[in-house]
Amino acid sequence: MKKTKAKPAAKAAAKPVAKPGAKPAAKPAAGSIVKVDSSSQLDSKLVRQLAAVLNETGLTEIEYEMGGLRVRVARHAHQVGSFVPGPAPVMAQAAAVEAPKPLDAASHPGTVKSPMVGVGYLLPEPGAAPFIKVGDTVTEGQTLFLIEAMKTFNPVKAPRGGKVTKILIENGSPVEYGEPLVIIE
Amino acid sequence: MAFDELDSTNAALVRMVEQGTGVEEGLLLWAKTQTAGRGRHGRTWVSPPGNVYASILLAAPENKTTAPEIGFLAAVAVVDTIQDLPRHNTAPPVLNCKWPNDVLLEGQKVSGILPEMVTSPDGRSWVVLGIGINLESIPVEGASYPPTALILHHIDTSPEHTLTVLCRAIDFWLNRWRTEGFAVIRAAWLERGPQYGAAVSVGLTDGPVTGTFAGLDADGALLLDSAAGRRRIVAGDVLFGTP
Repeated sequence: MKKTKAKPAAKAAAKPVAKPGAKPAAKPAAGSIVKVDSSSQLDSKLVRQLAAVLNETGLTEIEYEMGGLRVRVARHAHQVGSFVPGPAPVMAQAAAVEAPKPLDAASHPGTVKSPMVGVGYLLPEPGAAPFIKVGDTVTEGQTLFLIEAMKTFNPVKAPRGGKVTKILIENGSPVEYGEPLVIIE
Repeated sequence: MAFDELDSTNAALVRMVEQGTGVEEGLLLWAKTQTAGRGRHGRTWVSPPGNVYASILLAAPENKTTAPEIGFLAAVAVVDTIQDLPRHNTAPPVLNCKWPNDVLLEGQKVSGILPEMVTSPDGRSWVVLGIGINLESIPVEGASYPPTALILHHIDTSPEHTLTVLCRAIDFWLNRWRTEGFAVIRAAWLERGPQYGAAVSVGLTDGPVTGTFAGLDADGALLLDSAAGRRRIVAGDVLFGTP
């Protein structure tokens, strides 16, 4: 392990303590994203260990780098502070893992991001033609996707006109708040 | 606004908002029949005369990510509405919410809710809250869940009266949501929801998942315990009581 850096949640004075022998945590919950650079083999045990550290320490994010592989495990900030104590037992926090990508969609100026957590649809309904395809020219205000959360459907509209150069999600895949969906140039 | 026939009350209200024709919160479209009634993700909502087909326009919350909470308060309001309708027998009807916002009467689907978000030309965000309640007819085939109608449970009422009671109930729960937050709605839904530990099966885009009901997450997501651990589900078709 060359480098471990961790960001404390809110004002928690937690120290980054990534114990190599930490117990594996529960599987990442549905809706979590696991992205890896195709050139690297993701060690799922490592991810589980980092997720366990995250849960133990109350941190929201841990970044870990070894031999060119960088893994970031984060839990969704909005779920950390807002869980209402009640009859439902607290779920294992979803973990997200990202490796560096050659094209950083998150910071690309043409990226359209998801306005909410949910499931993204490229088609208005099953069997229909997709809203957009790579290479399409779209106009401002055109519907690009539908995001469904709790059966509430939210159309994602093009913030500006341009050409669709990359679609970053698959039909029916879970999306997180702020997740890059498409690049329009 | 009452219509003898619309393609879909939701589609018509979405069009009105998108055209920016002076819409305001509380605008209600009601149709006696729909020629293209819609359910979740393009499904057909069979709409013969005699049932309730209505869409209500609500201002989306400032934090748009909390807009899906409206579906839960609507389901609670529909349960309360049916509870308050006049009935011929004395036994109160057994009503439950089915995640996220269907309403079951004696275990069969009597109401479906379809919230859709839409933006008006002035940039304001709205939720078009579509509500269907079966008063006297049910789809013969193609239903995704066994259907029922109020008349089959000795509740004999008109769409007009049902809508009056429904608007009062939505107004009540909308106020509570806006003043007290989602925790109150979540608790009200859980009171009317399935038992913890009830068998649950959810159809997801990549296939079904089965397990037991473990409550709602803070944002309304369904928590399901399966052999593989706890899952958090934000979209899917839920069937309770299936093996």
